Amino acid sequence: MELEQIFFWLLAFGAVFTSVLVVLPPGGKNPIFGALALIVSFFFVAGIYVLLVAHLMAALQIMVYAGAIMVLFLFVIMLLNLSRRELGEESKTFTQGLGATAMLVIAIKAIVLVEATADGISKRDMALSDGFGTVEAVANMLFHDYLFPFELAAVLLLVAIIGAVVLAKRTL
Amino acid sequence: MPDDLVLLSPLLIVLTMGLVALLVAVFTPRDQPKGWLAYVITAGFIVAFAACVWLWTKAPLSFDLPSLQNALVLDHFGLALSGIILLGASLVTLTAVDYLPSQKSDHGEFYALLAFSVLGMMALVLAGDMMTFFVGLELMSISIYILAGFKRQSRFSVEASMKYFILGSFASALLLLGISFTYGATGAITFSGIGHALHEMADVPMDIAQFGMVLLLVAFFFKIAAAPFHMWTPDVYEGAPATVTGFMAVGVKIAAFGGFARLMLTCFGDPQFRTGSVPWETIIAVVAVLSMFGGNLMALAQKNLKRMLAYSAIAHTGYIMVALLATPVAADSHLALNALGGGMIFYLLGYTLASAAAFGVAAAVSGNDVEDVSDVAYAGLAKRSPGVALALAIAMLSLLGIPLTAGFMGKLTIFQEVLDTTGNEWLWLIIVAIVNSIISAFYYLRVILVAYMRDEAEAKPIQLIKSRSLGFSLAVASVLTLFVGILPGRAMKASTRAGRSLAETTVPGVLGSAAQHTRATTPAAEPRVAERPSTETPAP
Repeated sequence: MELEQIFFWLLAFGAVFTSVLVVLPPGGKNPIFGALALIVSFFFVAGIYVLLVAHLMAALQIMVYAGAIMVLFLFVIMLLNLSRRELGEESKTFTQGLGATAMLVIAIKAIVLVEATADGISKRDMALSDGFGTVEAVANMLFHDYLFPFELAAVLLLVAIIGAVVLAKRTL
Repeated sequence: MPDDLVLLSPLLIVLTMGLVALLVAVFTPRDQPKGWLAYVITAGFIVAFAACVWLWTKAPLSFDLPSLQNALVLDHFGLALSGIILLGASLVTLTAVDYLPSQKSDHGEFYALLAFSVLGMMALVLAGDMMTFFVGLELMSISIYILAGFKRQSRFSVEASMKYFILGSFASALLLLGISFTYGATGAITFSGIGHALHEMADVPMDIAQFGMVLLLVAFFFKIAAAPFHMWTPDVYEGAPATVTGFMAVGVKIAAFGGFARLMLTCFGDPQFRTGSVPWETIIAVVAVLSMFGGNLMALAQKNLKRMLAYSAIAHTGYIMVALLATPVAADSHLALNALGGGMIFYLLGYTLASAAAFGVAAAVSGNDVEDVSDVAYAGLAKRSPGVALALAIAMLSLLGIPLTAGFMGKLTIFQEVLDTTGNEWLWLIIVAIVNSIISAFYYLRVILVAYMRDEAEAKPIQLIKSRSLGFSLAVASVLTLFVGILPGRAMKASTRAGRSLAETTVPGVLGSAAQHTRATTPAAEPRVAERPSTETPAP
């Protein structure tokens, strides 16, 4: 096994494990644990980006997600300050079990598929272009290759802002 | 060749109107009525519609947009569906003018969100790559999540919004996973690129591509509310404000069908792939049967008009999916090109008109503040308000598929098309669909009976919303339903043209989409068939 592969498996395992902790936090139902687990998960994913030579993405992942967005999450959770009673009883229903099983089956199926065809993964465009992962390359993608979806995403963010105001403001 | 900005004009007009509505709403005092914004937005939709018509007459096969790296495919198919979406959105917007104040939710943001949502829908049906597809889908969905919860004082409205949001996000996650697998297998992000890779089959791990396709299908079934992914539909349709429910029926369904039809046929339409170890036609046929039976049988038990329409929407999803089966087979055999894909577009047009009218009536009878559209709300409607009752009757007959309505022609076209193109392969499915149409007669006719036969005395004294714009919207929808049903010629020709353009420009291995890749941008000097699209509104 090459060193890169060892790193990949470590990071991938960490990312999946901490993601599971987000939905099944160890400290009972306290959502703070979930949010903290999510931060760790973001770091692992950033590590995978580094392995893929997408350095800018890795930096953005940590700055934007682990930095800004997670702070926002924690603020919201603490401001809401939900009591144990409001969070409700832990419920494990048949449907939940069924859903978990279904997700597990899909995950196993995906792993088996990728393992079985690992050599067959598309060889198209596998060679990295010069300057891949640099700021220039990403900017070129955003403002040239994917200009239209990029502009559309701006409208999407505007809609999200309006939505937050419309749904949450006391008097509109 | 027209300028890119001109080509994008339908989208840009809708975007501009949304921004204008948003700004104007901010500077309008809180207690002022905002209804006039609806007229502004509707005017914008109509101008954008006219732009679609103009582009339609100019379109060679499809416009290339080199400056956008072909993120959009402006072909007759996309333009026709954009036209239907704009038509439905205009009808729905007009019903909101007096409905929103009656629900104490008269805020200008409603109209801005409506416009942004339409923008997302148009991007979805015109999308040429996965990026545009996903962002358009999300823009549409997120606007609708917010609109569903727009009646903030109602517990049901907020619940509908939350439910739709959580399940919708889950579907989006599956969609993204599907896109990733497809990209991993083919190394392409444009629809035509994926189609090519799967057509050539070199270096492409088929298992992974199929896995991605199945995930994409699940997201698709969720968005169009096909059984067994329909659980959210009744609650969301019932809880959301009536105009938003109408918008979901006329907008979201068409956009999702249009976008996914293009995606499935372009990316996975290759005959060898389609009939491979995971034949997606079989999946669609099974889901269509489940949707038809599930929707129709559950609708029988409903006493609430909105909930009944939700289940009926599930059933109609099933009928439309039958149409999807005709297209790829027809594309393989060059002979059937004339009878291609038109059925789906024609059916969607009829469904839009009937749904806009049905939900317009639901908005009209829902009364002040409380939203109750069970039998008592519209019992004896014919005596209280003959016009509204007539619109309701026409909508129900069209949804049922009685001759002389658009719904009948739509069903007939779909069945005919499937039989013409595939022989007897799907005959059993057509029979199932006809049996289901008969089942649906029970609950559609029941609504008409309640509106016409029940005594007015049984009715709760609910005040009908008096609204000139709502009446106008109902009148236009009813007249168009009958017009398209009685004189379907022009609409049929246009939808056939639109369906053909989908096959010509996108299905690989048919007319060679390799040609599409390298095709020079032919000037619009020789417009092929200068027909006007089906969704022509008659001059008032």
